Parts: sequence; structure tokens; C-alpha cells
Amino acid sequence: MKRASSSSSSSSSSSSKKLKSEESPSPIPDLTEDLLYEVLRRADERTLGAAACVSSRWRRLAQDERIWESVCLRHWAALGCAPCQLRSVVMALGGFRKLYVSYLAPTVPTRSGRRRRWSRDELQMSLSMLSVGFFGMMGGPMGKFPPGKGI
Amino acid sequence: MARSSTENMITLMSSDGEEFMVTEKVARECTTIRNMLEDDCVITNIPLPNVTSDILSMVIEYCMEHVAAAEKAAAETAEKGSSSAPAAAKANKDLEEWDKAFMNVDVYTLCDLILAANYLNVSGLLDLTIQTAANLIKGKSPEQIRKTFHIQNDLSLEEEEKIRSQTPWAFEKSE
Repeated sequence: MKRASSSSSSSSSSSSKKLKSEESPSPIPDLTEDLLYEVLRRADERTLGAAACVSSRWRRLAQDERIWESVCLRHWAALGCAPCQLRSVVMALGGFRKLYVSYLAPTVPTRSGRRRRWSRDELQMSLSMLSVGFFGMMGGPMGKFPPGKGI
Repeated sequence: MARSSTENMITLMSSDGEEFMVTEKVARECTTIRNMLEDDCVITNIPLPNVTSDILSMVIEYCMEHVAAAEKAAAETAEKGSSSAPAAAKANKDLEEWDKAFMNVDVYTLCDLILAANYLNVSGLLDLTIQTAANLIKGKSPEQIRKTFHIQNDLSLEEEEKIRSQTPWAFEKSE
């Protein structure tokens, strides 16, 4: 088995793949990516925002498009638009996380726990903003409007 | 195959060599084991090299409780001809309470249980443990999450700052 050779000198170790923290004698068993994904899939958007700051692994999972799609769909539950149609539009224009973070979150009053559904107008507005942002990025005719600002 | 085994016993062996005798019905709550039994119906001794004895005993406890609850519900339905809704609701609530008490474990045990439930494919237990882990991180700050799960932050200051600036609302104090 492995033998721990370094006993003293607790100098700041290199920030490589040392996930086990020193202060815990028995490290927390590592959940696989699939299982951690399942945990994050059940988190609300506020928790997802915080989870993305935990580590690079958590960031990758907490920014997963499928999770943000379900966050958006939770708010849109009553709008009656076909999710697959919406998906193709949103994915082409930059993804659900971008849509939520740049255009929807500013309209949602975030006191944790409070959740309200968005109206159809808000959805259409946010989709328009997303496409304006997209064309702005592409340097098209609407390029003079910086994404996420204006109007 | 639907075959009502009368107390057919199966021995499950943990990674540290401890043996657990359970009824086939309880063992079948684990889809992984159920598949093994269906492939080879004479099998009576199943080694589980990924599960320690303390975690295996908890998984078995969960399966036994849920099998007993299902049997009780079935017996009541058979007795009265039809299931009475209030009694069924109460039984459900009792089982929920039991689950809740069962999840009163430390984070080490919780993660071990998630891994075991996933390996043994006990869908109810996997759902319960994953939800418990989700509740643990709900509304927490990155620092609190790292502390809870003993995670080391490998993000640079700039990377962290970038995420914080993208979703500032996730870092506002809620209370």
C-alpha cells in the first residue's frame, strides 16, 4: 500500500491534484461525476451559482447546460412552449446558462426560496435579448449594441 | 420471474469479509443483485467487494424496512378487499419519517451510502441520499460547501472572481 513519507513540513503544497484536505483524517469518499451531477441537478439557481465557485470540477458540473435548461423550464412550466423547439433556439444562440445568467436573472428578485414564474412576455423578451447579444458577438449589423446592455 | 420464494436466504458478503443473511425478497431490492439472481438462480452467496460491512448493514436495514412496509400495505389491501386511503397515507407518512430519521448521518456515511446505493442500484435509497446531499448544499456559500465536503479550491482568484461577477445574485446574503 501507499506510504505517507512526508510527516512534517506543512508548507503550502502545490495546487495540483491534491483534493484530500489535510485536516481530515479520513477523506470524504469521492462521488463520481454522474452522482455529483445528480446532486446539482436538484439545486436551485442560487445554489448552482455558489457551487460553481467551489472547485474546477464543481464549476464544470454546475455550469452544465442540461441543468440550466431545467432551471429555465421550471420557471416556464406554464408557458406551453415545446421544450425541444425552445432548446434548438436557445442552444444555437448561446445556451441556457447564458440566457438565465445574462437576461433572466436580472428580472428575478432573488431572495432565496422565493420563486415565481415568468410571463410569456418576459420569456420572449429574454430570447430577443439573447439573440441581440448573439448577433452582437458575431459582429453583425446589430454589433454596435453590446450584449446584455441597452434597450 | 415471479416466484414466491418461501424464505429463500441469500448471503451477502461485504468487502471486509462480514456475512449478512437476508431473505431473497430483501436482496432483490438491489437491482444489481436481482439481475445476478435472474441470470443464475442457484446463486446463494454474493460477494460485494465495493461495500464495507457498516454501509452494507445500513443498505440492508433500508431494504428490510421498505420490504416490510410494502408487505404490510399488501396484506391490508388483501384483508379489506380494498386499500383504505387514510391508512395508506399514514403508512406512507410513517415510511417518510423513517427515511428522514435514517438520513440522520454524517457526510462521510452519506457519501458512502450514495456510492453503495448506486453500485447496488437501490433506486429509492439513491434518490433519498442524493436529495439529502442536495439539501446539504442548498443556500450555502462556496466556502461552506467546501467545508462540508472537504473540497480543496483549485480555482484561481481570477477564475473565482469571474464566476462571482457573472452571478452576483448567488452571493447575496439571504438572511
